[in-house]
Amino acid sequence: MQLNDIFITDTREEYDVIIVGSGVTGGWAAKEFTERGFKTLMIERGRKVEHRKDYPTEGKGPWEFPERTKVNNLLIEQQYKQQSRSYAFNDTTKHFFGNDRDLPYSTAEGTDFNWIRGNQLGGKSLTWHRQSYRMSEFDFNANKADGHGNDWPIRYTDLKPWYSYVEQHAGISGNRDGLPQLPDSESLPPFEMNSVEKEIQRQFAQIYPDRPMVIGRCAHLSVPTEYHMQHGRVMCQARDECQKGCSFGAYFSTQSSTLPFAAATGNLSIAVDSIVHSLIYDEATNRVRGVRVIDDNDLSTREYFAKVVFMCASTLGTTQIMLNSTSKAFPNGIANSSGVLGHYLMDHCYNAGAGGFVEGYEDEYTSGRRPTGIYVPNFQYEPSRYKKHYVRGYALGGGASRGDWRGKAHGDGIGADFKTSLTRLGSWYFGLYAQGEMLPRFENQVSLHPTKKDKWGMPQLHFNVSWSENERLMMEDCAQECEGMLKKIGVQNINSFVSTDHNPPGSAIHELGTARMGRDKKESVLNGYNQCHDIPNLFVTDGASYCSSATVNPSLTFMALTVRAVDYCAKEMQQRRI
Amino acid sequence: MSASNNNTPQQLNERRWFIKRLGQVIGATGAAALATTAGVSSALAYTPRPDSAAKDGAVLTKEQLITLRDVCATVLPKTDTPSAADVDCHGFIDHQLSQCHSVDEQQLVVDILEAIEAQSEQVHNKPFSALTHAQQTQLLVDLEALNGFVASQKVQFKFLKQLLIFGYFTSEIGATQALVYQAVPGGYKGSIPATPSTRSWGSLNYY
Repeated sequence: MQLNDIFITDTREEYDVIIVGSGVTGGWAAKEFTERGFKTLMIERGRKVEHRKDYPTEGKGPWEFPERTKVNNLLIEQQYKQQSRSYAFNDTTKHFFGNDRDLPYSTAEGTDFNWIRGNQLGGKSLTWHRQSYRMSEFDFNANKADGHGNDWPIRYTDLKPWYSYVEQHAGISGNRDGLPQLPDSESLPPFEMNSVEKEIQRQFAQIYPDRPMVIGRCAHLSVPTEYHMQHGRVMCQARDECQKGCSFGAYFSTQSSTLPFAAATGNLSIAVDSIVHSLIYDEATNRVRGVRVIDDNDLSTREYFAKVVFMCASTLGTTQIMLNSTSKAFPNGIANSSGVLGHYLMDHCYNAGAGGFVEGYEDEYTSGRRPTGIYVPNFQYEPSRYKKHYVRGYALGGGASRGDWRGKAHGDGIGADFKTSLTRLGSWYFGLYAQGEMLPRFENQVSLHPTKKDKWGMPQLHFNVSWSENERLMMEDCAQECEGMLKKIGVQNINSFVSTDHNPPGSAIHELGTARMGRDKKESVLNGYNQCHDIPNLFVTDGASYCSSATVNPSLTFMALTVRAVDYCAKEMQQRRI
Repeated sequence: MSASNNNTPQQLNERRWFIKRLGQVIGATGAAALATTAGVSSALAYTPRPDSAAKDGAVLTKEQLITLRDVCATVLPKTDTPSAADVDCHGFIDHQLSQCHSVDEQQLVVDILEAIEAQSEQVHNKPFSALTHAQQTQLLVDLEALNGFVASQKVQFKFLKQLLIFGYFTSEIGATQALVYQAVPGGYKGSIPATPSTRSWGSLNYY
């Protein structure tokens, strides 16, 4: 891949397609359009990150970092206060997180929102948690079934072939479990459960037949196919240091999986350090013509033009740009005749769980750092399975592992025997935690702040988002259920927790909604092909398009939505309807 | 880069693995170059020094550093692997306190080091560093058992002790010799045999 040839700054060319964003969805859109022969410009607000070359912390031991992977507290205070709330933020990964000093936002009084950023080529595809699950027919039907939110304009069968398509290319490891609530992927072999997990899986199957426990499905090459290896990707080495970048190309990222294919076509150009300010809209034809861009470094402005624009800038990035694109026809944000742009913001609620110690298995240990855990899919996936006092449900993540010095450091002990005990294996610990669905609510809104701007002159986002009573009740219930499940299988010294008050929305980094799909243009921004109802040549295929959050991690679904939207758009362009 | 000359056999072995596996993807020359640039640069890292207790540190005085050095050597003494003092945990703690901890947390460490000295003077009429190893050990055992110390001092000591243990097992010797370091495990195995003497992995996803 000769990346240097494809980076551009100023151009007078009119492209077929502009893609705003280079993360999970932007990378897919670029691959799909360029492979179909369309001249495509990918625009990224952050810097260039080249596969392998720009993973400066990869392979380093903790002793090679000044504070042994911890981050200087002054630096956190001044530049990473929000970002440091992410589990994945540390000194080995902080170069792939945004800098809060430059990326301010505000929250309504009495509310909080945790906005985690990844502004570089590849976006958050470099740092994502890689869990990959299909949404089920129950998920696509959920809003209709219980009346919360609007009905998805598509169903599982619409997306099914596109899931298969992206899975085969990206490489998704997992078991084929045959569950209606968690449709199987076209998967590579699963990662192995350890012996404690296998025993717990067996016990859960007996006690809770409706709560099957499966191995987590993840975008890792557990066993790569010939296809993957031909394209420079090899087997996952089980380092589980993925957020530093992976030169083995063993997990899906823009750099490892989609960008090389797009670049190889010769149809791709990339503009980095280019912050999209707004879309250029032509009222006479009711089409977008391109985008206005501010240069990240010298704050100069420039414009790029294309026949079609795909918004893949992340849920909140996309919505910020659309809200900032005003005209006589669209005074409240482009393609916003419905007025719902910015509304129905969702995340997942990861705010409950329980864990405890498992006796025995002292003659067993594990080797390698498995990049996934165990998973209990949502067992309250249709109204007849709901609890009485709240709607929807939660999946459970978790896993079993043996303790080490990190836990033992809290204990009493001085001297040689204590030192030896720190180096030895601790007891087995098994934990479960909630991955709860968050309801789509009109009140959960992100808007442009009326006066505050960032250093590029972009209006800051203003969040007014809170957990509803439904999420609170769900988390209370989940903590009790987890504790009960662990008790039933004999786990000892169980601790359960509810952290809804501590972790605000945004903390799961699954921002969804704000430009939702729908059949009715009066109550949605996008149609069933992620195309704006109001403007035919403008598409949104990232998480902004979601009608409901479901419980599964969203990335695999927006990959599938993106490739389906590109296929539709390409045909529309060939038919000259766009 | 001079750091690459000081690698332990384990580390060199891990790097060979890394290069070999990477070489399957991007060719041996590229892999070697990558492993050199991405794998061993330690210019910015806290570098253990033999003389951390010879002068004032960033937070602690020379006297406090001497006490801390001997606390390190007492909590995690030399066995078949070097002690915490041997890997300059005291210098690391002083550095870490200055970089990653609040003034209040820095004070916890100062206070407990002063308390250890005071107790040593009171019981033995000698500074902590002049005690025999057995006396030093007994004094810290007494601290955790609240003999001659109060509960709030144990809280201070626990904070220091966790920093000490973190410093030891994230040092190169702690992670690769006291524990077993797998830079590139090569895959996941859900069950391997273990005995009471099996050492845990020093290579972790999060520290």
